[in-house]
Amino acid sequence: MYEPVWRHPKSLDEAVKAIGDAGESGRLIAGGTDLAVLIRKGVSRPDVLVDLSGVCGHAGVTVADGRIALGALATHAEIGAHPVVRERAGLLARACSAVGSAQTRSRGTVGGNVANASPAADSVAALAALDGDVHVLSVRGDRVVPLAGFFKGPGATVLARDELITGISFDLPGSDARSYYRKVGQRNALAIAIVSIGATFDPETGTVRLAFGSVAPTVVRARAAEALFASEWGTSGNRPALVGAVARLAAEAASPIDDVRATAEYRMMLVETLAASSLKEMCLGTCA
Amino acid sequence: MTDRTDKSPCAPDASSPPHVGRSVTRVDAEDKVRGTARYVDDLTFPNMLHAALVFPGVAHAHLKGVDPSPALAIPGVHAVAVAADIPGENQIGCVDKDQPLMPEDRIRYTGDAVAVVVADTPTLAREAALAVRVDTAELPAVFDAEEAMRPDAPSVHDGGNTFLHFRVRKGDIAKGFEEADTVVERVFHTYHQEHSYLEPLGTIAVPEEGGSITIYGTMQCPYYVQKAVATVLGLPLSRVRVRQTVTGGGFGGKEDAPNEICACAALAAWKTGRPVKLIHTREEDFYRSSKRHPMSVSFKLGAKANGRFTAVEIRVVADAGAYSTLSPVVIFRAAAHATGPYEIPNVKTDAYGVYTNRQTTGAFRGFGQPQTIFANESVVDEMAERLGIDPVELRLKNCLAVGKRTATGQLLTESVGLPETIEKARDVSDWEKKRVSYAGDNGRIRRGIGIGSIYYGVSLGAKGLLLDASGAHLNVYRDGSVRIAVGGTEMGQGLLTVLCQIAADSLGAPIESIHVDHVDTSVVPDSGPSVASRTTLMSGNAVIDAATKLKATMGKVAADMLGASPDAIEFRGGFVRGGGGSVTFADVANECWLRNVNTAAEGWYAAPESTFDENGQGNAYAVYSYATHVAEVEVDTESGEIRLIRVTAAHDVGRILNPVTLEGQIEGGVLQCAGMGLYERMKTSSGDITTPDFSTYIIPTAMDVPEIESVFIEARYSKGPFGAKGIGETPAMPGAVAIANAVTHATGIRFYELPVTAEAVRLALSERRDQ
Repeated sequence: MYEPVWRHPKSLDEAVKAIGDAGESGRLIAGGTDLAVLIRKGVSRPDVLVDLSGVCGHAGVTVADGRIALGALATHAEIGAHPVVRERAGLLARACSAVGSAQTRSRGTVGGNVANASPAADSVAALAALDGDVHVLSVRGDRVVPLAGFFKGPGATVLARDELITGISFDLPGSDARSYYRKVGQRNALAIAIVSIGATFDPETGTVRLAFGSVAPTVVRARAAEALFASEWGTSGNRPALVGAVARLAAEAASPIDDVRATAEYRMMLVETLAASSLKEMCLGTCA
Repeated sequence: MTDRTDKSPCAPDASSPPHVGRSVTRVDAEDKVRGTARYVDDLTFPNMLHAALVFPGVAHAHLKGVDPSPALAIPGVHAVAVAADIPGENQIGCVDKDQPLMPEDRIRYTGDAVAVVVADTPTLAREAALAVRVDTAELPAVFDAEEAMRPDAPSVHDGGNTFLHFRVRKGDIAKGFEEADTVVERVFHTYHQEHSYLEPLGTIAVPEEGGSITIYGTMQCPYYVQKAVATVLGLPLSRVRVRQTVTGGGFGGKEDAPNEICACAALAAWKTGRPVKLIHTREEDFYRSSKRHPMSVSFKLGAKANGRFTAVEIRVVADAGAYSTLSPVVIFRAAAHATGPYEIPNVKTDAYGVYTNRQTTGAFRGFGQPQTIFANESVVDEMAERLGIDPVELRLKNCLAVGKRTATGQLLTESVGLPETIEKARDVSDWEKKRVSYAGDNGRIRRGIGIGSIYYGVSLGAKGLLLDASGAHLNVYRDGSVRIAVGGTEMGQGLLTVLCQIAADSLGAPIESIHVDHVDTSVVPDSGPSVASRTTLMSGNAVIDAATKLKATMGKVAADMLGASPDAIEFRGGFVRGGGGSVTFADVANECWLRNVNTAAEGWYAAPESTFDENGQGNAYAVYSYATHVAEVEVDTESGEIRLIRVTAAHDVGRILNPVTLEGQIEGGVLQCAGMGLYERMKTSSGDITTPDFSTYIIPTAMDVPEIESVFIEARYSKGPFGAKGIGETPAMPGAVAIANAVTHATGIRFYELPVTAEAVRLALSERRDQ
């Protein structure tokens, strides 16, 4: 019978020690909305579970020094309701509010969402478009990993076995910055993304960032499309045409597969359509 | 929708029954809301053990051996029951005897279980089940019904895969198509749909002294379970007592499927001599329970330029899965109703049931009809478009009414509210205006409005093959309180409440004094299954029969008490009146007790005879229920996403017994239609289910619920309790195609398979753009 050993650290120091001591088959658990499902299915059977729910001081959202910092234990519900996140990083608020159900949003944490490394993770498409940084800690010290380099594939990250995420942070977007988030799922709630898009537009610099979920082994940024936009937006005489070209190029960042939710063909269509839609809304102020 | 009673077209007055027709609060509401209702998993018995099933997980194989020894070596494991342990017959086939409880030599689908492991806890039982060694040699398998019909296809059972063929022949279709000015011919596909009841299958088997056994469980049909357990254990029916526990939904999924799980638990209890609980996980339930039949339906309809239908030719191929289960009854129903609710002079229908190595398919709310309805109601819409006639008008021109004949030649003589359902649905939904205004949408969001109409033969019909009668036992205690036992089950639909109303009004007793129990097979004789929208009709009439008998005996005593003639005695609202005086119902009950007069009675009701000859002609069902749904959608042409915004659901129910429970039935059905229309498709790969849970098998949630307007039509049925007929199935039938028709109205694209997903819409839109 499967009976894991539970550890209940009360501080970050205890937590990193506990996960360090747990060895190969130790796993961190916060809200448990991903891990509990895998354990029940028998897909994951960690010998040691390090429960982070008693670790103080790493929940919540902090706004300071031109950055927004999300504690790893901040829940989707907290982030989605945070007034500054809603005002300045609306895409993240919308993404967090699109996670699962009210129950999942109240239990699930942003640290867990990132650590689980699903290409469909709702918050990650938004965080990628915000150029987030992941703050990592182990007994060996702390480090900061840009989200863009954090994921290695579905369920795989650059985290070492003994490292844990303490938080995610990103630059506070300007008051005139625009953003866009949309998830196309199979229904209105409890939906895993068929395709999701997180996008930001900074009118001051004339730059956009476009991130897609569920179209590649990890959440991806459409870098080439972003570069095209940055180089031509300021001088373009035909911005609607530019938006179309950027959207087409954005689709090249996607390498989707067929799965139980949708086909690759449909996902490719959605990537271009959603990219175009996001750019029209953010940059041209028009809704299709 | 706060004042629900005012929706009844018949305003209550002094002559109306005091309770029937009112929104009496559900008698089980408080227990369910408080969490005190006891479902089977809430029950426990001394010394109880827990069971889990062993699934080899192959779709088609020779079973060479089952070795339980590794499981038995695990501490806490008490026994492993295999086919050789079965003391009776290893057979649970419901209609055809083609299904062993546990296969002995051949596995036919991934839901076949070959052993039952019994242990101290459910978790241990499941872990031990994985330790049982099963030796199999895979056989070529077949996963598609059309392929399975070919002569060279692997045979699922000896004797070929096409095991059912129902025909309907009426008139001369060659002549009918000759007379037609326009012919529309299309092929439609639907797939497995899961019942998705809240409470998975579960049971507890308790061995009793004297060589008897009691089965507790979540189920629709306790008498089926009684028969299955008696067969498997080799016991007389009198030694098998089945008690239905509070049941969290059925929708047909608990018609015959409980037979298997209850017989497995019974075998385990028999072997260990201890109570055994067996509860499926959701995933096990997906593998093990029956589904809605995937069907391919070829539908050819001919019509005159004036819109009159002249001929219809239909071919239905239904994937029955590995065993026939209830397919003979389901496919009969599909064949009998396949034309749709229209009078068409020339009909040729062939419906086939085919074995495959997939999940068994059987009863699911609508019972074989929603699939053919998708075909007929799509073709009717396409015909309307070709003829330039409004879809509502075309339906009204051809629909069944009193004096018309069905496809089986049955003359309809009463209770046909179909035309009114169409007219009311049209008017309440504001069809005519929206049909025009929605067509003008040209932005990213396009709206559409669509319609679907249906008819449904109430109860089992000519090929029901099973007992079509029901019993009731009424016991009036000396204080005037009443306890009622019936053979029909409450599964969430509100039966207990409605029977309280019927009993109160037919007995004249106060409704608070009446209590109705869940089914216990030791109390009421075999009453057939609780399926096919028959339970209110059958159990209701049985209660009325018993009440009538009771009033006759109690009336004599009351007449004596009041000094009145027995003919002048009236039972109403808790009082018994006559000769100018009155006494309470309780006074009469007490007086009966004092005078040694029996105040218990048995009621019985048998369905009128029905017929269906080899050409599919006859009075297939005694009476039909009718419904029309109008669905409105918004289609996002960018993503293909469809939002169901409003459904107008008009139902002819004969007589409204309880408006609020009726509305509940309808709203739930509308959601199941949305599931079939937009979301639900159980996907399989080589016989394995790739969507075995609710994160991958998509059902609508509360966030997908449209605005629902229920409209009631009361075309009374003379043989129904207070004029009522069935409502159970019909709400789950017209909606899926109404949604598909609405999406067609919004996009101009017709869809030939369900569900119509966002992906299907988006791909079709882009294909059209490319053209």
